[in-house]
Amino acid sequence: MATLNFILIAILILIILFVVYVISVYNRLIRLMNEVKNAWAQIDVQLKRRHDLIPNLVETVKGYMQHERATLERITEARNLAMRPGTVGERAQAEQQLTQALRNFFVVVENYPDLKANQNFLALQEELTSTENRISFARQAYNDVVMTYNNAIQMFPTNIIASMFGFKQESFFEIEDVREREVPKVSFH
Amino acid sequence: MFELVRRNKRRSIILAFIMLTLMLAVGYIIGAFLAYFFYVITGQGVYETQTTYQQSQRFSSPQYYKYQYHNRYSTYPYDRNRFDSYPYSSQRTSREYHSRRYNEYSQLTIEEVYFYTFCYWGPVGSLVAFAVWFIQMLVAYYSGGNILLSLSNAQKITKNDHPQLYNVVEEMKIAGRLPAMPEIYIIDDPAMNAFATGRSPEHSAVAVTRGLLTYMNRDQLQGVIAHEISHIINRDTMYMTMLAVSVGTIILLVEGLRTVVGSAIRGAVYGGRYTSRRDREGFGAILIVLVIIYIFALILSVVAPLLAMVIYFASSRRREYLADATSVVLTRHPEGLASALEKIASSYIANPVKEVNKLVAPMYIVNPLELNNLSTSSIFSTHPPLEKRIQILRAIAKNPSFANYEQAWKQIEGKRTNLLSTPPTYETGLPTGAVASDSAKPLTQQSPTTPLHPMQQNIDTDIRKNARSAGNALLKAQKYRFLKCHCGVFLKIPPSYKGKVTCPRCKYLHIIEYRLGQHILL
Repeated sequence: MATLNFILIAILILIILFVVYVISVYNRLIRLMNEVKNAWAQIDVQLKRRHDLIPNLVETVKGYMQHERATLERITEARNLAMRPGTVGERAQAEQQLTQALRNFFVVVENYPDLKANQNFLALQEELTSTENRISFARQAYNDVVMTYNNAIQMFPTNIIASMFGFKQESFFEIEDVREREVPKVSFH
Repeated sequence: MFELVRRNKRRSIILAFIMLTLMLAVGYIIGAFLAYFFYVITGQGVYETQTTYQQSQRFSSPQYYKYQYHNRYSTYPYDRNRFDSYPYSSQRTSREYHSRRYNEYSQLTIEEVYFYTFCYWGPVGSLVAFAVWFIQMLVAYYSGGNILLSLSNAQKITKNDHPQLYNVVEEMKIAGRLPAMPEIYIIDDPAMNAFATGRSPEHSAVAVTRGLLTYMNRDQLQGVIAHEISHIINRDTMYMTMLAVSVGTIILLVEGLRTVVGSAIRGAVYGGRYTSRRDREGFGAILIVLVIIYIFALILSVVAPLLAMVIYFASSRRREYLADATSVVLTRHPEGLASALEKIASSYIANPVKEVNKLVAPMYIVNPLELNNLSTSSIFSTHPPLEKRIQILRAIAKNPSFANYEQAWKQIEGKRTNLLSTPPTYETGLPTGAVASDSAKPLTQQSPTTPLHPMQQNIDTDIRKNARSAGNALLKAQKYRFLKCHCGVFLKIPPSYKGKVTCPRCKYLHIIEYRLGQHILL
């Protein structure tokens, strides 16, 4: 009788330990999943910041850059496109265009020494540079979190618990535009 | 990737654990020594005290002994095996009554004395040590950061005061996923430096000097800020504060231990007239145990502070490397931090700062007090040698990650190479590695099979130029001589070098003489 009791108690303790373990793993996965969501939202915050900056930029620059109407229009257009609600793929493409347009713009700015001396413009340029950095850092942070989350989901023994509760892998933020990934070709002529 | 951080943290925890154990051991030895001494040798405590009339009455009055039979130390009837358990006055002189010798403690057997010494008063000593540590820790926890900031006269700023600095900090906050924006402070100091403080990522602050903001470009500033944010992410301020408090407590306790042991020995020597117990059986064993405790106390009082300090400085250096690695993971741009470190070092060498606060110096990204030796660090350095930090960062310029950082770290730490005396082994060569270099021609040839994009090449030459000017400053600081060959190449000669040098461009064989403290080119 005593032995039976002992065995029963041992089994009970083991079950309790197992339940505690499952709960802790489940909570960890939930925390990671929320971190992934938060990191994704952070990217949106920074994109929004960029959208808000662009009208200011165009306003400041307009007076100086009469001949670059096309460049400015492209920026505004890309911004409006990116702000329109759509699928993730569409928006990503629009953001890509906006990035490209801004890059072109900053190349063109090199030809306008007056503009480069304007305090207002310099402040805006710093803000835009910072925003571009923030977007890429937010993406980087998102990818890091996704990696931690995916590792947790795929690794033994957490993967069993993850599949029990239906946790799904998240996908990394990758550059949509295939051209950006290509190694630049060099010609020696 | 984050596995390495975790491993580093685990090791840090082990080091902190050793430190705490050391502290508790010192407390234990103090407690045990005091108790043992009290019980066995004098039987009346360490210090002799004047006995009042009432006290002596208490010991001599029969009522007291009646009462004493009911306490836990006494037996009834008279037990010959116990110390001083015979209660009545016939065998005692009046002098013994008037001393405090016959108190309840003197009624213990040897086994009980051992038990109370090692299992009660020793742990109590440890507990007291822990309490002292804990109180200091609480104070440091709630005020440590503020003390540092006020010591360095830092001014808190908002975004409008310095938008770029604010932006860079916020970028790093995003990259490091900090839960809250750190407070930003500017120190009005022309020298370039920065530090981070704060008890947790939620309550953190970054302080930079005005000199840093003046001379750094955006990438370099980002590298520096990333290093500081890494300290916040890794909770280094708290960890180092904890170690510092432990070191302080250990030193305090060792002072206490020396005082206690010293006065106890003095008490035993001069208070010998009361210790009539040396004639008893088993006194040899008692004395041997005392000597053993005494030897332990001596060893601990010498070793503990030294070991504590070595652990402190070793962990500080380890944490700096970790912050460098983390900053690279945040920015993915090691060159920013590397060139920033070079700039800081060369500026300090150009204008040595006279007044550096010794409390704040270890917190800085580069310790201004340690810049007299750039290539090696002693066991009492708070930071790893600058050259090694820069070398590791440059070695992973192409592929920044924790794994590569660790590999480069192993290679560079393990080999004990000196950046200035051996040619660099990594691809994007640092021109300071050579004794002589041509200002026009890149030192290391890119292999022809891997052509680089023109932009990439531009960046590389820029890096080289930066590295060269900073490297030259470092060399000048180490008293290298710059001698010009007739073809225009500068030969950089180590101090007090004599012999032959072939010019790398025109292959002319120079003979270098060292006369009257100056190099002469023949």
